[in-house]
Amino acid sequence: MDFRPFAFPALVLLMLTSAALLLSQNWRWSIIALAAQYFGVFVLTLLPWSVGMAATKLISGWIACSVLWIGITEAGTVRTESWKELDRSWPSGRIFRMLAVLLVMLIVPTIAPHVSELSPALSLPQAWAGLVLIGLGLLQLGFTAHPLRVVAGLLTILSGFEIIYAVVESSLLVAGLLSMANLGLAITGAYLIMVPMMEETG
Amino acid sequence: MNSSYIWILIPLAAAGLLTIIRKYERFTITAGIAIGMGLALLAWLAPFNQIIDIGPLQMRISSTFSILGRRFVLGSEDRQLLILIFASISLWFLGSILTKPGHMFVPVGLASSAVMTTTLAVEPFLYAAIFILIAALFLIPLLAPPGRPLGRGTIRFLTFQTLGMPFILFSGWLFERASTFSGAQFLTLTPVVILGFGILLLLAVFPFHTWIPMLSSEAHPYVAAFVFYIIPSMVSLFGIDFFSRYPWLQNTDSIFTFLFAAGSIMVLTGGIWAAFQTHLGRLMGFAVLIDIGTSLLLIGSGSGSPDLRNEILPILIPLLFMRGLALCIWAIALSIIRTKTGSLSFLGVSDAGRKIPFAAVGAVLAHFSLAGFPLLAGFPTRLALLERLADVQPGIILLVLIGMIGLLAGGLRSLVVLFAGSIETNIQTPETRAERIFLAAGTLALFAAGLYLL
Repeated sequence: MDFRPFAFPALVLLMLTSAALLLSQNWRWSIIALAAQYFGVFVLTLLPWSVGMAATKLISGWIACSVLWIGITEAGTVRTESWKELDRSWPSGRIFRMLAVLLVMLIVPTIAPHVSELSPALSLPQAWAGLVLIGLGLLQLGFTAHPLRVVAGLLTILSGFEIIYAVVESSLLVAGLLSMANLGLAITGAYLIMVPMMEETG
Repeated sequence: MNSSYIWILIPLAAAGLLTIIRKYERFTITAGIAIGMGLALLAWLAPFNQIIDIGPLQMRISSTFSILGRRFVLGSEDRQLLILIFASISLWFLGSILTKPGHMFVPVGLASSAVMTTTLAVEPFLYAAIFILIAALFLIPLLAPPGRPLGRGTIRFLTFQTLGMPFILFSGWLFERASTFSGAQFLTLTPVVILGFGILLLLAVFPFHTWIPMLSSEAHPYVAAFVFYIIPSMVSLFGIDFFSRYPWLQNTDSIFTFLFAAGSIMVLTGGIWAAFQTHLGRLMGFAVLIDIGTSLLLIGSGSGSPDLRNEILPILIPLLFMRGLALCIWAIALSIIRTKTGSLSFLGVSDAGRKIPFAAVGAVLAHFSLAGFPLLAGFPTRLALLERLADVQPGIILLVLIGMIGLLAGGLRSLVVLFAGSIETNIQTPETRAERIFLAAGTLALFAAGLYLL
């Protein structure tokens, strides 16, 4: 099946979800956005990979989202409140972040054609999507030190990289290892969210 | 039997089992030391790809293990590195008897050594970047123990190690592409810049070094030192592999210019910062930065060499081992000082040398060793580095010396702070007998290693 017609809708989905992830003040919506983001990544990795291989991205991504969800639920309300740390400077903080998102969205179209020239197999929507995710993920990292937001930012960056890297590397082992890295990152994130509330073991 | 089963799967499986019984600390530490020493000994004695008679049984340790179309290769050429990894991990486990870095230390240490071995074995070797990230993830529970507030250093460590991986993988692909066009003439600056960013992030090169001083003041000193040992060692060995796999890279000036620039900036700035520190833990962090800088310079000094791996490894392996030894003793000493005084700031440890002399002397000597002080373990490798630099880049020697003098100045300051109390204060020895024996043996080992390697 030719999945190329789905590339552009997937790009739009990724732009919306990664922006939502950055702007959202509700951790539930953020994790839902992250899960939707993995669907977009799945669609774009379908272009160079088989459905089975691309599905590893979707499944590991959704498991990662579940792990984060469980982690933040287990951590309780005290920690979930701190998720809203960025709201202290509302509304100026949110406007600033919106402008930053806009800036990344404007810069990416100028870089994407150069990146897609690196490999003939790399289409413009893939390069564009990869760069948007990397850019907005980096922005996320720059704005906060909250473990959930940091891990969400890192997962976003890795997703962006994986879209581009999938074009040049189709090894099953790499797909597995990258999925493992994603899952490991999510488990680490969940651990870091819960760790201050955990019982001291000495 | 396969070499990957022995040096990757056995420690990994042992790590899993020891995690389950981690509450029995004495047993896990003893088991960890036994496994580490056993594997180091096996690496020393094992004949690869030859039939061994064990009574009526015949066994052959094959060097290649294939999975999902990729290979893990551990052969006789990796023997020294395997000994380094497993002998040093045993030393760290031994030190953990005194420092109590947490129940997870031995399982995580074994898992890290397995992952470190995997970075040497995996082919294509570029996939090692993913394993370095996995090793960093394993280390997080040590840095952020349950029930303690989460420090910013841990978050930064996680961030930089994660960001480094894509850069290395992507640069690898670009280099691979360049090599298919038969070499450096097709190589543009892009892959070099991307590789450079990857190295900057993974090796905590300025300006991505901030997690090292942060962790050294936030985390348990022994855990921080272990992380400072394991990750940079892994990345340095990976770096050597990187250059030896692409022989034409060794004639690419831009890469070596980058290595010299990054290394000398680290040594110089680390030394200057170290001279002005007022916290023993942070001093250790800056000493590590300087040591990472020296390993970058050492790799850089292989510029133009036809066989970089075989030329650099004989210096890099002792350098890494001496780093491990000095850091281990320094961290044990700092852990004891922190337990007895409640702080590692100069204000808190003032006059501690008279109250806990073994720990104070151990900390100062380990510091001097990493600064390359004559007769101590760090000196011969520093000398070897300076001799190599004199041939390749004599201009950098001055910067390296300034950095080393800065670190020595930091050591002298801590010496003064630790022993500058009233002369009437009676010298006490509140350290336990085990602590005294370990620290005395450790400091003697620093001298012995220094004299032996000289």
